[in-house]
Amino acid sequence: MTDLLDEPVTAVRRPQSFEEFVVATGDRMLRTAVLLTGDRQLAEDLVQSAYAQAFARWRLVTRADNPAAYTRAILTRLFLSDRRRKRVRELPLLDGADTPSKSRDPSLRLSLMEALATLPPVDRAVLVLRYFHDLPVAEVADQTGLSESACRTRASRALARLRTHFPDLADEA
Amino acid sequence: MLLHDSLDDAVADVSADLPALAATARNQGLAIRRRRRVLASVGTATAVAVLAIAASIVGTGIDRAPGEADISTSTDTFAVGPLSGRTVPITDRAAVAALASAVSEVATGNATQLRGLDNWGGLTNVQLYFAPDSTHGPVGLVQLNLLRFQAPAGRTNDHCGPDVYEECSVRQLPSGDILRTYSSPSPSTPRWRIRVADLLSPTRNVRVVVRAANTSDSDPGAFRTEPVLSFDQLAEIASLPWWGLQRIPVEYVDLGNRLTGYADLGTTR
Repeated sequence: MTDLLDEPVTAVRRPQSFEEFVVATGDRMLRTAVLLTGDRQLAEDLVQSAYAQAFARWRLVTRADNPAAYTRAILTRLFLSDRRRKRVRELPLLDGADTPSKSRDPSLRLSLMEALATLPPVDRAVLVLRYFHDLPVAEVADQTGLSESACRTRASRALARLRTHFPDLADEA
Repeated sequence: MLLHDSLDDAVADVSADLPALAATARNQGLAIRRRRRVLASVGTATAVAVLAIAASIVGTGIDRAPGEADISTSTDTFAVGPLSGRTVPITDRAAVAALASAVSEVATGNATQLRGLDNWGGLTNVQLYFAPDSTHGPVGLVQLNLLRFQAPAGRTNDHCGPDVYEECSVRQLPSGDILRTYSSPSPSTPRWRIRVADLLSPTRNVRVVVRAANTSDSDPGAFRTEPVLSFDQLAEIASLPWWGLQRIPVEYVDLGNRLTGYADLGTTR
């Protein structure tokens, strides 16, 4: 189990079991959720809900071309849905004290998280999928339910807003 | 400055308790499946059938798969005598029997719903519900995970983090093993509490994680004031010197083979 790559969340091979799948993808999924929600507890809740949905349709997940991407799409759509928090019973799962921070600049991290939090949720999702996961625009559009042109517009607008906080942010697209 | 690198950097220290995540998500996923089945049935059934479904749910409990047997057994049942020292390859039946036996050595009460997750990547994930005699209240979940000493990302899990855990302490045992205990409340479910004993044994190449909650999925709205096992009890269980990834004392295999209500958590997969 431990030989499965955690990052990036791409299915390098088909998971043999749900547990193996969670172990292989859980950390990356949680990091995505933290970037989306800006809140660790909400992120825990979101990830747990996404994996619960994945387990409930496990056969579909395992038949998907990329089970991790399939689950990440569930997570993204849950994030974009307000109903999630009312339906899900949350249990703590973070083991966050395991690893000391590797951030080069903690103040930068806080600022980036705060800057992300100022964006509308859909823009945040577009940025995270596009630049954290390096997904092509077509896939971002598919996971967020937007058109490709809307994704490009939102990404451009969101980057512009981030640049007001971080002027040296490079153009990566 | 690339946004990708900055985003990576912002969450570099975020990690999850993956076995707990998998176990909890599985339970929630099972509940989702059951709700779907019930809703599908209700959509086509008569009023009489609706009553029958309701009776079925009440009869099996929301967290139980069809066909799973229940047992309600005093932990005295799981007591074993002195160990012979002979070990055999571990099985989930043996591991959950050993967990029940270990609980019986530190507390008296009733253990129910002994379960294991077979074929869990060569690791062990077992659980039971426990109701101590010393206090009244609903059953609480007790879980045991046997993992490899080194976490996938090279983490060592040997210290406390004030932003995540409460009542956390770490100490080195005379054996050289490192024992961490902590509690983990949930802001979104304020009454939910869990205590954890997390032991790292480099010499045995094993990480032993024992958890006790003040509730269970058998009755999600019912809580005890405290988890069903104390820190000392959990630490005692986690510190048993024979926990290992590959082998277990033969006495627990015998005990496991005699379990009548054992269920594989993976059978509904």
